[in-house]
Amino acid sequence: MIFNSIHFLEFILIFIPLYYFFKGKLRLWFTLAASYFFYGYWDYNFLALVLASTVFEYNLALYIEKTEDEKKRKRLLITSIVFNLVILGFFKYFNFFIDSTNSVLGLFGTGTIHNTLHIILPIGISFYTFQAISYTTDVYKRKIKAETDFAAFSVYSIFFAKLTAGPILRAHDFLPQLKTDQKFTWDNFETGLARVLLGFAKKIIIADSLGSFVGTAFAFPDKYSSLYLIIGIIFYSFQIYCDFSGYSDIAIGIARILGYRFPENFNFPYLAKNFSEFWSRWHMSLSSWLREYLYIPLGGNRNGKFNAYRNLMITMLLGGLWHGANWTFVVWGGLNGVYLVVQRLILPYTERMGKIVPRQLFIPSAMIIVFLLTCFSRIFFRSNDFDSAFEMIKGVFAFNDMSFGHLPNKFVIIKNLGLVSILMILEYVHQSNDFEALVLKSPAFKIITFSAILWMIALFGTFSDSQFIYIQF
Amino acid sequence: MKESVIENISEVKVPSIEVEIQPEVVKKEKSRLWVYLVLIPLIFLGDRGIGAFLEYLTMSSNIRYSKLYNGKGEADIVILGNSRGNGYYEPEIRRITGKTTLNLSYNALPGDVGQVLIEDYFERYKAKLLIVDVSLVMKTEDPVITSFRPYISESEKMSALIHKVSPATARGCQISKLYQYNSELFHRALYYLGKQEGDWILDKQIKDELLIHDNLADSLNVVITKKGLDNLKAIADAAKKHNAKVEFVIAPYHSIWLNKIYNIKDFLAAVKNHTGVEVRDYCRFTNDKTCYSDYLHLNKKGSLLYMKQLQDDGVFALK
Repeated sequence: MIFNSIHFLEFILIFIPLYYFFKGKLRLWFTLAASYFFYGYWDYNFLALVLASTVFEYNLALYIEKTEDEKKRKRLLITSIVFNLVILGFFKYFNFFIDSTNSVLGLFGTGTIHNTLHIILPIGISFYTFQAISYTTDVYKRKIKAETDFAAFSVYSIFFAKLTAGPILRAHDFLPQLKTDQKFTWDNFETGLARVLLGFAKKIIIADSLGSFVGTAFAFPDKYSSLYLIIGIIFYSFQIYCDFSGYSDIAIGIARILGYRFPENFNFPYLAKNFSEFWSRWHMSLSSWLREYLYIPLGGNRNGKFNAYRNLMITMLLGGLWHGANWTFVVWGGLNGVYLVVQRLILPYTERMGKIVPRQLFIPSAMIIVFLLTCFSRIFFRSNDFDSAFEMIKGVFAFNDMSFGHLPNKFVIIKNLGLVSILMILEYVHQSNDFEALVLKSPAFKIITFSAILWMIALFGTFSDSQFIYIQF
Repeated sequence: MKESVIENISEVKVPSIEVEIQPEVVKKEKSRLWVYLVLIPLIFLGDRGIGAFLEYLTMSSNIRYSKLYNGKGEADIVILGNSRGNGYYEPEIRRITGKTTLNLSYNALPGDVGQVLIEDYFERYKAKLLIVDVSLVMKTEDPVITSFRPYISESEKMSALIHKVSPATARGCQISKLYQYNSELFHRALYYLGKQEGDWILDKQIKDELLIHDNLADSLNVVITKKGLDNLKAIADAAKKHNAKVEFVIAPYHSIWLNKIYNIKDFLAAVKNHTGVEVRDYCRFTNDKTCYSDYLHLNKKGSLLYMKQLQDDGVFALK
């Protein structure tokens, strides 16, 4: 079941009143049952896997907490991490591993491994396993107590609002919220609904509209002019942002209607002035996870500059691989790692430049450079293979036919440029105004916002069954 | 005894149940009620109001379909085709024939929509000549049919067709007037507000690398459907019924494309058999790369040459 489907609308309209009807433990069990239904609606074959994993993690965490022997605790933590990585590795990376091995064997002219398994990727597995790893790690580090209530732990693990594409929740944030009976309030309902509508608007109005244009540009780079391809790449950056942040808005909004607070996942990333800032604004729940559970355990900034750069590269390469079982994602991660390293290397020069160049010029220039380099790295993120990625790069840097007049689909381009411009203006304004507070405080703002979003969806929405991009990860 | 009890009861002080309602809360709830009382009608009224304004804009446009439905579409020569039909360059036809012209072609226009447009045309106006590029019925795309929804208020036939191919779209248009204008054709209508359509022609030349190395399949075929042939027959019949001359033609293809279509002759024969109208075959009119914008479409230079050829061959001759 995906958020932008009529089935989900039916599901949530039944779920919300029943959720508030039930109290205490019953509510938790009901939420758990609904979450299993939500997941099973997509493919019920994986319900057993999710249940087994939940039972295993629940008991293992309790066992870690009870154990005093540090060596044994560490072994238990490693068991948990390996267990999750094996699940992730098997379902997500098995085919990738076989294909990569075959490519290497092919270079030496030896035989290849025959792959007879047709593995389906369970939806949301990357988010689910990372959340599980963070939970047992936090219990091991005694940052949190192991959860004794199985229903609460299970809801934390598989809550439908965040199951398919996050945000990745931390146990210390979410478990205490599950322990209190959230009361229905109109404030929560209205701010939650406004957030859900905003998410749908981003997805249906902008992301899906950009998607069809982006699809043609990436499918036939040899057919289109350089300008068309450049527009396609820039549009892709906005498509993926609106798609994923739209999904996060819907998840955060649904949680809010139910009385829960989810962490923010995006903070106007395209207004970032450098790459560190970009990664603290983009997919924040993953970025902070990688920092806390990978970069810092690797050594972080400690032990000298070289080791810090190495740790940064390892984190970004693995972060890239997390997105998908393809070397193109690794290159995307690697490129972003290089950006971060280079940024640190040239920091003294950029600081000096910042003092010479007027602020009004320096900041927008920095934003544009960060944005364009991010767009460039996304060529690898979007392309199915290296041939397609290099075909795209070749097409862009040929700089042939840069005339706007010669572009096909001009109407689509103009419409999309208009939508993207509106988005950027709203983002800029939104940065200094709290959207939720405005919805709550000003009835006029509430009326205008709700009406305008619904009208915009009717007038500009793309009504197809397109999936959210990050669900595939 | 009874009296004393009554007396006692009367003396009992009933504790008052005091529910403290903050004035701020009352004010907030009142304001919330007002918001919803305003919001819900506003959403529907705004949808209808803005929708009516968009309808006005659409019908004020100089785009071909607005002209058809706003009473300004009458022409001596009417042309119909898909994107290839745009190669029948209207300003040039007007120049060489001195006759008024209306080109109703559209990218990937399905035969069903073509039939509706022509039937609607002859219900409203007269014409002396109808030229149809028969490649129109080689491909049908439902999304293109539904993109004609800005005109459902003007045409019952268009409304019925959209309802048939996509009941969800038709229902959407009933619920929201704005959704009716959620279409590329509406954007085009806006573009041609206060502007004539003369620029609707491709002006670029096919890329050399596409001539050296094509990415086409080894063999392509025309899917000949009875539905498509029926559409052509209904189009021809509508014109004949209103005493208009009918010309079926097929515009040029670049040889790289044409040589891979193995059944084009069968298609043209099927059209002749089904409709009784001979197709004038210009498939191999020219192979000059400077005349094409891609394998299927003439550019402006190619179109001008093609129009001259049609004039020389008497295609534009009127009854």
